[in-house]
Amino acid sequence: MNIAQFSLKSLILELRYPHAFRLWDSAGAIWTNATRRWPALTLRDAVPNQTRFTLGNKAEIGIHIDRAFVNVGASRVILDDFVPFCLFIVETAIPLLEIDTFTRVGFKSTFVKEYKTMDDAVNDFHSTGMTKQIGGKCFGIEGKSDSPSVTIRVEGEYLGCATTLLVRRRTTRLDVQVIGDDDFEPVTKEHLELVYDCDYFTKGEMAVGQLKASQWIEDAMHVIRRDSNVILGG
Amino acid sequence: MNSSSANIVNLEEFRATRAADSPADAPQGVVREIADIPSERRGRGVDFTRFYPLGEIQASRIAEPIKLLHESVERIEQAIESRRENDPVGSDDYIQQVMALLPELFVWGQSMGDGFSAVVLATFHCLRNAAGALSERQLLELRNGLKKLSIAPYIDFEAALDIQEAYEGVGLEPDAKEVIELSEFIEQGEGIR
Repeated sequence: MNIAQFSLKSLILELRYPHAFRLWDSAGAIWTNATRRWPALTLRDAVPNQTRFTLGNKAEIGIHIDRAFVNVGASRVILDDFVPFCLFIVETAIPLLEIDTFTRVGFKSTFVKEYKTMDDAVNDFHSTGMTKQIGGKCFGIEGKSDSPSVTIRVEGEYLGCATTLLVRRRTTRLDVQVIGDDDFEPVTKEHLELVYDCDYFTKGEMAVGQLKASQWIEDAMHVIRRDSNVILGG
Repeated sequence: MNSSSANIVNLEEFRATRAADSPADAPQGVVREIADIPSERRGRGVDFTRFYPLGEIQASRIAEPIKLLHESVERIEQAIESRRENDPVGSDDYIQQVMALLPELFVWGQSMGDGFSAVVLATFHCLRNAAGALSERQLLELRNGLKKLSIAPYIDFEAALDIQEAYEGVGLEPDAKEVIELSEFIEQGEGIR
């Protein structure tokens, strides 16, 4: 199994910083700028300590007093859909917040492989060799591992990476709120997935002038894809 | 008796975009190269390429300008050393080598940002406008400017102006000679009017 068999479903950039009290002065300027770039942005939260907007069901941008994030999700995400939002945060919002240092820069990518049966997903999970398959009676229970997961955290002096591999059953349900409306039926969809999730992050303080978001994200993505065989077994 | 109430803040809604803070949050296996970083090793003085997943390798687009910056800082330090040893000719030789590196560094400004270009250009004009040998204080300021850039090359234009001000503070001229002449001409014109 290798990374090419997975679809990239979600990308998140999270920047943490010491309390940015300028948020109370600059929130209006930041979001006016953002809505000029992306007119379809919709306000979700606006309270003193946090502001959050969404763009359809594809993107979410949040600026809080101690962190900012961009979250992009779709059936198949590409970096070009994600990077413009990150550049907006780093090049437009951060200077307005007058932040000097980031305490943590994190980039989380989630790759998913879909299956028809749970057994296939569990078998592929065990084929990676990350954990052994337990057979027979265990803990007094005659059964089998249903949703196994394993997380490996690797940390260096300045960078770290937390990787999770798990099998999950995800159910989505679309409800129809109008009683008596025959036009639409509630829809339920079940996904059986093997999820490879990688959170790449910095350790220690990083000066704002040290981060070029596009470069850092490209580097992180390159490393995540290159070294995925360590987890997925190649 | 006083009664008190507290708002319950729901943290779950932003857990999705918040990464695990500590190994205790989830992991089943932990590999640590270094468990804890001493506080004195954290901070803004760290070579910034250490924070980049590909580091300072050829595949990374930041490698070349950083190499040039380090080389420039090294040459200025050698110029300072020569000056301290009463060798003004040797000191000037090193400064001429810095002059040769700066145009190439300026080319990288397009991918590095406005702040980067502004500092490189200001440094170039300081050296070009210098009438005679630079003092040790001026050399130290130039070294500090380029060193700041090598630590944080993606500085914004405002931060670059701070470095230019520091150059001016020790008697350097970070603007192009033509610009200085033009501004003097305009000032004279206003005086006549």
